[in-house]
Parts: sequence; structure tokens; C-alpha cells
Amino acid sequence: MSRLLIFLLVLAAGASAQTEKGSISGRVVSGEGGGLAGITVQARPAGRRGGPPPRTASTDEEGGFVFENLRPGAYEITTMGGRTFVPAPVDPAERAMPRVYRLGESVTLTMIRGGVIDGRVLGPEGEPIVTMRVSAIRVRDERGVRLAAPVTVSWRLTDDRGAYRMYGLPPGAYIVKANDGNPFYNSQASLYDNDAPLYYPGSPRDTAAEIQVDSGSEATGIDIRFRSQRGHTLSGRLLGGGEDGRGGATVALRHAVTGALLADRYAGAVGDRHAFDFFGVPDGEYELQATTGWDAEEPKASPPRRVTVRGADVENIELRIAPLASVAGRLVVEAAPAACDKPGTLRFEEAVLAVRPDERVKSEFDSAAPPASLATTANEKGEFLLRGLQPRRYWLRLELPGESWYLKSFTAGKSDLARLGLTPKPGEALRDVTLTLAAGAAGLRGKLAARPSGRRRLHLVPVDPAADPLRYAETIVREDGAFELKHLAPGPYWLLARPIPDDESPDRPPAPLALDPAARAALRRDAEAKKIEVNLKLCGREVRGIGSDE
Amino acid sequence: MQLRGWIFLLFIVATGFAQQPAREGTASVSGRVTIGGRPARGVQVALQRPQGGGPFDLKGTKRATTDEEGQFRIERLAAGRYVLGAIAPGFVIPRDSTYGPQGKALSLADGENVENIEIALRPGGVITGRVTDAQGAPVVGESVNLSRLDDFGKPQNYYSGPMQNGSDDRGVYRLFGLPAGRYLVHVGFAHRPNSIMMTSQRVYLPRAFHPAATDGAEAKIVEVAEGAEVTGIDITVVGFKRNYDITGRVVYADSGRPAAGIEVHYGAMNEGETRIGAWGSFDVRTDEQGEFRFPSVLPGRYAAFVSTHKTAGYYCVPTPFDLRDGDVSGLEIRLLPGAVVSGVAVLEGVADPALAARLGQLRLAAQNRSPGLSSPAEGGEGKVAPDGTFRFVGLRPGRVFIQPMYDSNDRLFTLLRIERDGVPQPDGVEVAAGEKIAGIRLILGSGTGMVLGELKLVGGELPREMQLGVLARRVDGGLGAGLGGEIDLRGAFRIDRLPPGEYELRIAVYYPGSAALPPEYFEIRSKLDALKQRVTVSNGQAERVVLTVDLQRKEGRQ
Repeated sequence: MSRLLIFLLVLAAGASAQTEKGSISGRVVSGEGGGLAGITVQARPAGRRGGPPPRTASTDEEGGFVFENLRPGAYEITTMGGRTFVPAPVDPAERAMPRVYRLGESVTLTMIRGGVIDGRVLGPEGEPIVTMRVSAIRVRDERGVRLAAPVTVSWRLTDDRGAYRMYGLPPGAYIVKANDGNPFYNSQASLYDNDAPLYYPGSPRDTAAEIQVDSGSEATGIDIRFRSQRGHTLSGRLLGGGEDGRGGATVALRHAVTGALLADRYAGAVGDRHAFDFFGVPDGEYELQATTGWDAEEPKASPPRRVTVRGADVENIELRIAPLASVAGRLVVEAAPAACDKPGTLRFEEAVLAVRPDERVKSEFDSAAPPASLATTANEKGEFLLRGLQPRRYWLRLELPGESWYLKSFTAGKSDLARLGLTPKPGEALRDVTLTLAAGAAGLRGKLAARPSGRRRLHLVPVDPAADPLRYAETIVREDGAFELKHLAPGPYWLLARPIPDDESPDRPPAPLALDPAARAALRRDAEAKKIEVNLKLCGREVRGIGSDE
Repeated sequence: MQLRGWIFLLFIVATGFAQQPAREGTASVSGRVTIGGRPARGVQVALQRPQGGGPFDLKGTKRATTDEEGQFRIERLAAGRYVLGAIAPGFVIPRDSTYGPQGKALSLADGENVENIEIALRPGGVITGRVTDAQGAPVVGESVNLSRLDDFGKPQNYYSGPMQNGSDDRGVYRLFGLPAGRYLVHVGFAHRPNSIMMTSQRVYLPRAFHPAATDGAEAKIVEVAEGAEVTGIDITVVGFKRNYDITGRVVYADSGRPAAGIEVHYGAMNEGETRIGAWGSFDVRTDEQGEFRFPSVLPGRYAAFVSTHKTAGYYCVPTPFDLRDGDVSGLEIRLLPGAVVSGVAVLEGVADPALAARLGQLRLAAQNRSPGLSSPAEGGEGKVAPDGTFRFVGLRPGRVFIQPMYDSNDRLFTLLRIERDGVPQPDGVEVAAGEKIAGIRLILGSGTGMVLGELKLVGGELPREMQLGVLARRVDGGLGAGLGGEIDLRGAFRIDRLPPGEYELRIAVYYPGSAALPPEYFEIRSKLDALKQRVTVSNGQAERVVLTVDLQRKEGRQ
């Protein structure tokens, strides 16, 4: 029994033709709306890891900035070095994938004042603990939602009075860790190298007290009682690295429950070849994983390995790194143009291809930490290359410019990746992946009536039972109930809103439900029962409001 | 931050020690720790293995805590090189180098008992204050740096540790653990020869001294007494400035074609612009059109150059440029076809076939020691093939010296001679532009000879910042610059794994900074430079030498 409010609106489509190079301009504003001067803004080609340094600009007195002479492409535009200012929180619906901008677009970046945590580290007799590394670890976001993996946001060394002060902290809940590793980046011995870290107010991690930080707030007196408690050593070596002790990898030590990165070490040619060790590790469950740099000539990684520390050192841990896979392919445009629309030229360089591991499919690469998404942009011919893929199932997210195009098929030779997903084997170089785009895409935006609590996901289910998973679409509904879906194939669909489970983290988006045949069938059943139908015409732009009892 | 020549040599020797250093042995060290002359209880003393730039060996670090009388003793030590020091944050700890482990070098032989070592700590001083702009607003996140006036009254950069907290959100900074002395306190950047600072920020803070000076001559000197806290050392800055980008292209000089995918760097030159000192890059590579961009370059005079590891047979002449208050574009770096030097590496006086078999894994470095600005990332790195041959391409014309590289852990082979057509080339092989030279013979030796020495300085003291090392060079012209030995806290040094032969020992002198030094410095320097001592080394023998330098000044020291 749906009460539907239907609006129909055809929006002017078509992007103006672009010159070879262009600019992106924008403004950095504070939460109160005024421009912020002297902030460095960087423009980085989407998905780029390593490679040439990003372009940078500085904001003027009004907060304005401009990047000129940019090549066509998709850019991530971010602020850096805000000093006491930090980027304003992003709606959870937009957190999974960084927003990209293209030439000619204008950008508004909002920053807010960060918070402060201030305190001292004192020994058993109240004496100051000097030159100890203290870090602030963000465990909940500004809305109190636990982060998929806690992040060390800031760290300081205590001074001669044992005092530390961390500023520019994004709002959220924090735990504060004392003795977070050697204060000299392991270049020389320090007093507490063999000791376990302790958390404010002086406890192991499980009982650490959370400190609430709001924009502009100052938490003072966060004093930590430090007692020297010997930790253990985790040591081992890397297998599968290069000869000559070359081709090392970085070994990450993570907390197996929260996925938090605790420390990392480069296991390279210096000293014992390919050996690694972590000191001062308290009892607990951990995960170790070795990965080479993504810009390595042949990226390699080991599967994460669980290690338990119980009252003793753990030695001779062997991590075998093996070559990762790569995927090369191209974007192509279907020949037949859509009749209704002048789609203009599609600039392939402006498309972003992102792949993310599908955690519903079990893999030896499953980790406590959220899996990294890999992204790239195509060149002007539509060719792309993704490197460093683990042997597991990936799902694809294609970010297309404008509104005119949609992904029609996703294949590799004769196999239909739209149904199978992208599942590279170890070390495989998949070469003939084709993404076929068609013009005449439809779009749908609208609003769901507000609900008191809980996040929701909106699914778009094709009425045609034979439609492949590419025809299905889903999006997270913003907190104000707004949603938007673009780049849709025309045709009849059902709409279905579903609550997002509480344990689903905004930083760890699951693969689209339609990829899983059973879930897809269930989705169809539910959508068919609700019967909220929408017919998306060729090049149609629908605006739709959905009542409260959808 | 930069390290100069002979410190690098010491690192090579440091990594050249045993492959898997034994963790236990029969040597011991004992002594006491004092603070201001009085015994210090409960201080941690650490004996660390020096590492060649890698992480310190925590398992191999031996620690002890001083007792009521300030005494410590560390036993069951393996022979080898160590750094002995106290770990006492906030105190001034005697140390050889501002980099790496805190303490002084100590070389231990098997079974040796080193006693009565005194580690004299002094309470550190504190300088604290606030950094603000002209309107009084805090300047946040800027590191505050010190220059300490040396014995000649010249400001020397004082490196206050591998890391420090910058000014906080209130502009407040605090530097502690400082030795007594006179300091200049400053924030921000100023260009100096041989030194480079890189930033990813679009703005930078031009240098400002306490209290509000942009020129060091107007800076107020801050006097810190032992253990004293000096407060209110505020710095007022003028404001941030924008920095600029450098763009240019790399071309092949012979064909005019653009060179794509080439790593490009820039560096700061020395005062005479004859050499590139510190350099760096942000992983900048040329694109398909050979174009490159260095973002956010701070003002100064630099030179741009390429890494020639991947330029297959080409070398470059660095292109100097000035950056002031605008982007610099149109820079061109030209790649020139280089010379080729090939030959064979042979062993002399090595009977062990297992050792001879390892010659085929040896890595070599070709260094051009000719004057003229050259790329410090010249790709003169090669390998000896299993049949003993080697080949270097893309060499710059000039005098080329080829040396074995001691990559990971051991110096197995030592260069005895380079021969061209049977004639020794003690000063390297003269290579003309684009020339192809074949038939170079590298004669390598291996040995177990050792020089155990002691340096005695009498009649005076060295300036505080001066550091010494010992260099051994083969009399017949091998070894290139020589093999380094560091001088430990007892004045002892040791140079091992020497092939038999005659060597000349000299003192290597390091003094920081590039400021003009007074005649007193050169007087001491000439006395150190004058010392040359020959020693004959045989396999399996430790040659003991004592080097004595009389620092007595003719008219007596002030």
C-alpha cells in the first residue's frame, strides 16, 4: 500500500565540448561558511597510487583556489595541511568512494576546526615519562558509529615534563596509546622498546577509555599512568622475495579483532635478509600480512596470517609473498547512438574504474581490516590497467562522467563478468576485459520520507527476470532521505528500500546484493511484492518521492 | 639533512661486519654513569650495533641499568663494533654523531674486558616560547630549529633529534635536552648551499629568528645554562609565502627526441656550484612528451638532473635554475650518449675456490671523479658476470674509478689495482666523450689482515664539532678513497679484512657547515692532515699502530 508522489522532470543533458586542457576551481570554506585562506589543496588523478606528485594550489584570502592547465581526467580534490582545521565529515552514503571532479567543475570543500587532546604520561611515582610516542586513535566517527578499522590520526612525543598535545583531530571518539612504538622510527634504541603499549588511563586496549572529541573541543588532563610491562617479540621472515635480499615487502601487524594497524616493518635487504620483528607486543590476537609497494615492478602479497601471543615470544613466522594479478582491458562505446540525446563525446580519461573485494565470497585474503579498493582511470583510447589484485572475487564500480552513458556489458572474451564477477588467479594477467558503454542512460533521484533512525539502501530491480546483475542498481540513502542513481539502462524497474544492518560499516561497503544469485532472487521477490514501479525512458531523468510506509 | 663523504665510508664498513653477527661472546664492558660528576642510579645503558641506515638491531642491543653507585656492567659480548651510551631522555649524552644511536663508538675484541668507562651526563636545558604572526595569531605545526654557536662563534645547525614536535595549535613549542650554549632560535625555510628542503604544501614560512628577525645577524642570541629553562623565546613571523612549480623536458641531445619515463630530480649545489649536494624528488618522471613537473619548490638555486639508471647508455649534464617568485618553465635536460667501459675482474692472491666462485656475484660501482657538475644519481652500477666480465655504459667523460660495492653484509673483496693495457691506473681510467674502452682489468684481493690502532691527541683539544676517522689506502694506488675506520671512545680504531700489502693511514676530518672558518681551525686541520703513517699488513695478523698528533699551538691557545 504505497502512497507515491511522482514528479517527472527531464533535465537538460549534454556536456559542453572540452578543450584539450582545462581547469578545476573551487573554494575552501569553514563550517561557518567563510573562506579559509592559505590552505593547500591537492588534485590527484583518481585511483593513482605513487606516480607523479599531485598538483597543489593554495587558497587565497576568500578561500578560492584554481588548478589550471589540467589534462582531461577525473581528479580527487582534497585539502591538506589545514593545521587546526580538518575536512568536515562526509555523509556515510558518500564515504565508500572518494568523490571525483572533472575539468570545468567547481568544488566546495568544507573544513571544520579539529579538536584537541592534551595530557601527560607519568610513571608509577608520578615522574614524567620523556620522549615517549603517544598517539590518538580514532575508533568511532562523529556520529558514534564504530569505524571499520581504527585509524591513528595523530601522534606526538612527550616532552621533558611528560606532556603531549595533539590537535587538529576530526570529531569522533578516540583512544590514546602510550608507547606506540620506538620514538625514533627504529633508528636507535629507546627506553621502552621491549615494553607493551598502554592506553589511557593506563590499561590494556580492551579496557581503554574512549575520549569524545568534537569540533573545536579540548579534552585536557588525559594523563596516562605508564607502568613498564614487558611485551613479547613476533619475528619471522619473508619467503618469495627476490634474490640478493632485494624485493622485500612491508609487514603489517594488525589487531585481529578491530583490524587496526598497530605497526609495520620493512623486511628488506638490511641486516638479516627479509627478516622482520615486532617488539613489545602484548598478549592477544594479531594478523600479519606482507605486501610490496603497489608501484613495485611485480606487486606481491602474502595472505593475512593469524598469530596468537600468549605469554611468550612467537618466532620463525614465515610469510610467503606471491605475485598478485593484473587486469587490463578497455572501455568501448556501442556504435548505435541513442536517438533522444546528444551525448557528446565520452572522454574515456574521465571514467574511473574501481574494484573492491567481494567479502561475501570467502578468501584466504580475508582480513580484519577492510580490504583496499583499487582504482584507475583509462587513457584517451579507453585502455586501462589495474595492478596488484589479490586472488579473490572483485566487484566493479564504474564512475562515468556526465549522465549520458551506462555500462551495458562487462566481459572477458566469452565470459560474462557481469554475472561471474572479476576473479583473477594468483599472478594472472587478465588481458581482454571489455566494458561496453551505451548512450541514452536514464537517471533517477528523489527522496524517501524521513525515518526516525537507521540507514537505508535503495535498490533498483529490473522487471525483466532475465536481466543480468549489471541492470540492478543500489545506493545508500542520505541522512536527509535523498538518493540519486545515474548511468542506468532504460527500462521498467521496481524500487525497494531496505534497512542497512547495524553491523555494516560505512567504510566497508559490501558488494552489490545482485552479484549473489540467491540474494538477487530474494531482492526480486521483495521488490515484486512492493510493486513500486518506475519506467525509465531512454535518456529519462526521473525524480521520485517515496512515502513513509514503503 | 645530509651525510658527507667519509661518514658514508664508515657506514660501508659498518655493514661490512659479520654476516650474521654473533649475539653472545666473551667480551665485557663496565663503568659508571654520572650526572654532573655524581653517580647516577637507575640509568639505562645501551650497547647498540651500528646499522648502515637500516633499523637498529633491537635483539642485538644489550642493556644494563646502573646501581646505587652508578655502576653498570655488560657481559657476554661478541667482538665487534658497538655504540655505547646512556638512554636518558632530557639529558645531554656524550655522542659521536647526531645521527643514529646515541653514544660513542666502542670496538671490542674477543675476550676483551673494557673497564672504567665513564658516561658523563649533563642536565639538559630547555628553550620554550610561542610562534605567532604579526597579528598575534598562532603559527601552527612549524618546527622550531636551533643553530648553536660553535667554538669559533659560527652558528652551526643543531640537530635536536630525529624528530621533534612542531609548534602546537597555540603556537607553543618546547625544545629540551639541550647542551649548555648559545643558540639562535628560528622557524621556517632559508635556502643554503648544499641543503634542500622539500614540501608538499603550497605555502612555506620564510625563515624568522627570535625575536622577530629575518636576518640571522639581527637574531637575538639565547644563552642556555646547564639544565636551565629559558622561557618566552617567542618568534614573530612575517607570514607565509607561496612556492612555485618547475616544468621542463628531457630530450636526447643526439636526436632531439623527448625522453619518456625518466626519473627527474633536483638538488642544491655547493657554493662554487661545482657539485650537487643534497637532492631529492617526489618520484617525478617524464611523460610521453618528455615533460616533467616539480611541484612546490622552495626558493633557491638548484640544478635539475635525471637518474641515469634507466637511460640506457646516456648521461646528463645537470641544468641549473633559479627559483624566486614565480613558476619556472621550459627547463631542458639533455641526455648525451655516454662512454662504454668493459673488462674483466680477476683475483690476486686468493687460493680458496669457494671465495673465487663468489666473484661472479660481486656488484661494482663506476664513479666519475672529474670536476664539473654531474648527476649525483649517475647509474654507474654493474655486476660481475659469472665469467668475470663487466661492462658499464652511459659514462660521463672524465676519470672513471670502478670499485666493488659491499651491498649487504660483508666486504669479501677489496680492490687492489685497476689496469689498462697492463698499466696501473691509480687515479682512475681516463675516458673521452662517447669512447668505447675494452680490456680494463680490475684486480681484486681478499684478506684477513687487520690494523688495530690508537689515535693519541696531545697538547690540546679538538673543536667540539670536529669529528675524526682513519682512512687506510693502499700505497700502490688501489682502494679508491680508502677504507674507513672509526675512532672509538678510547681513541682505538680497527680496520679489518685487509688483503696483505702496504697501506698508508691518514686522518679523515669532518666539520659541519659551510661557513668560513677561522685560521685556528686550519691550524688544527693542517696538523691532522700532515699525519701519514705506513703499515704493512699480512693475513691473519693484527698490526698495531699508534698515531700521535700534537695539537700544541705555537703561541698557546686562548
